[in-house]
Amino acid sequence: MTRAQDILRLTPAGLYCEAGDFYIDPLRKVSRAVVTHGHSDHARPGHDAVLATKETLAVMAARYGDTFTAAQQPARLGETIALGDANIMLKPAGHVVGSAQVVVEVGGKRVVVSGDYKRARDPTCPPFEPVPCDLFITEATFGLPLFRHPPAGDEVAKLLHSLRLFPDRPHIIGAYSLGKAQRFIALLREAAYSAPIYVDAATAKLCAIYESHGVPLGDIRPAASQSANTLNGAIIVGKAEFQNGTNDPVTAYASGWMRTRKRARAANVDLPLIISDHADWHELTATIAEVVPGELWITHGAEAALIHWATTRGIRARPLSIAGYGDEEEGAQQ
Amino acid sequence: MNRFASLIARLETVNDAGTKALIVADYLSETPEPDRSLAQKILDRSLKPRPVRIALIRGLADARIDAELFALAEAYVGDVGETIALTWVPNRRANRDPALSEIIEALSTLGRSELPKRIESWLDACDETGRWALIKLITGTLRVERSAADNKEQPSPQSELFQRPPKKDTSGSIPAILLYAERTNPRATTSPLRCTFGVWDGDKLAPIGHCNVEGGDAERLESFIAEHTTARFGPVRQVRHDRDVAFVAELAFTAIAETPRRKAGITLRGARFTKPIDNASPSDAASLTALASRLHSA
Repeated sequence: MTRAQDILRLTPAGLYCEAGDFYIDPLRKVSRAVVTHGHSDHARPGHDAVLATKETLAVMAARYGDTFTAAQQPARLGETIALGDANIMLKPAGHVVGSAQVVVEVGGKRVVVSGDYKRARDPTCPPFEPVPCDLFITEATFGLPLFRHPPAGDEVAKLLHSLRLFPDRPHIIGAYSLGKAQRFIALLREAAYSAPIYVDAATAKLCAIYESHGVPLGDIRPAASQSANTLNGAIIVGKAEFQNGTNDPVTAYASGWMRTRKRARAANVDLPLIISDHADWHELTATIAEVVPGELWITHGAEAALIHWATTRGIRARPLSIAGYGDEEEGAQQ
Repeated sequence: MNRFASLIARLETVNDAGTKALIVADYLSETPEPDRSLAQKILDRSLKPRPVRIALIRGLADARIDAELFALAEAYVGDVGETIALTWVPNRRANRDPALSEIIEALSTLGRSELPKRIESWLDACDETGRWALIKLITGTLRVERSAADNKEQPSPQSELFQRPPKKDTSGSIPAILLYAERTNPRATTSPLRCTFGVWDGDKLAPIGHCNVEGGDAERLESFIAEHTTARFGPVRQVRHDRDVAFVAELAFTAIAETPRRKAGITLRGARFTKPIDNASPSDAASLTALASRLHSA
């Protein structure tokens, strides 16, 4: 009889499913990859075949060129796909555009790989759908009880307040180019901010993918070609390098790590904003309670607290150290 | 309390004196009396309520959170008060957070037996920034970050804050050498590295400050530490640091302080790891005499 723990195993190339002969978010080139979302620590170029949502495939093509894989296999959310002796299904993860959890079923047992996810509302992607399972493999980027992200709208309001206080100064928001930037822009639009928003080249490319997949972002313009005076009093989203070409900017940085004063000070910006596309402690524990797994594996670093929490609730839990995940978000902060 | 707390938090991250002044003026203009005068006095440091012991607040937190989870959170945050503020889960939502005046008055009138219950209700009613500043305020550890620059020309808004003689500005950055490193939480391999840095004192290196390093920079440090550990003291690694081989990094700091009881005699306050300096020779690191003269000429 199949045990849920035997469906996937960790190899140097990443999580491998023998029954279906595929890897999930592999770190090295493999013959078949199932990719949860487009962040570069999960989606790498050079696999022979890639199965992912059409949005994720579009993100990979935009970043790596159309030749990032020989065979693109788009999968609809909720569609069952047979791979060898395994059935897989992608379910929304609520992380960034196209992000998905991977549900793997072999011999009547079900494993869910969460990928990166959040439960907070995000106008740019469908919400996470909990799937009950025998084994849940969860990320734990913010796996400490001190991480509780405030409502993102409140953080956006802080920026708009600063803009009222300093109406002539450009406001530069450091935000990761895939996901954070577009969510931030969409939240600004929800807050009735309708002026043009300026972005760097990488962010612009990804904004276009969001637009073409039905996420309106309003008037988006390239920041690089603007004169310094045009940017006075404007909002600029992306890498903070524009500072040099602008007049006396107010700098902000949007990240879940801004929760602690130490990290907020270290970011060296005027306005640290706590906005994250990862589940906070409350979302992680609520999700685990909802999917009631027989066993829990935890990736992405901060696992000790979550293992303790799960164990005290009678859930078997262990860390799954996949080197390399989480680099993108961390790197964006440097 | 929440609004005052976000003011304090913002003053911590904003560097520019003019921006600070405007933010303070904006806050005061929207704050009714008596909180407005109280806030001014706290900013001026002319009002310091009789402090409550942190152990009392820690006791309140112990009743709310699993001890193991608290310990893990504290190892990450590095500050008991802030850890309580961030991990506190309010029992019930109050209609409003307490006014500054309410807090100051209660601290001076309530007896020892009544105080814990009241503090608990404040912690329930504040948001996390409010709890953070509340704990700092009532334990007497609130530090108001004033301008780390000489701003004589800065017009003073309503606040007396900026009319005081400016403090000497000794902030800056220097190349320094890694001496020791340890994990802030030995149980978590991804926890930040606490690093001690030194500068040249003749032919030896004198420790002048420490800071936490994490993320990609920590990985760079780790690979150096892995290859160049020369001694271990419990969790602390001593790394090679001589004229031939050393890890040179740029350290930024908010001030240089005289600390006569320390080996080097001076210490960098608010030290922050900015970046590794590639291709630097260990001799490129700063010297103690240069730092001391920078302090005395400021």
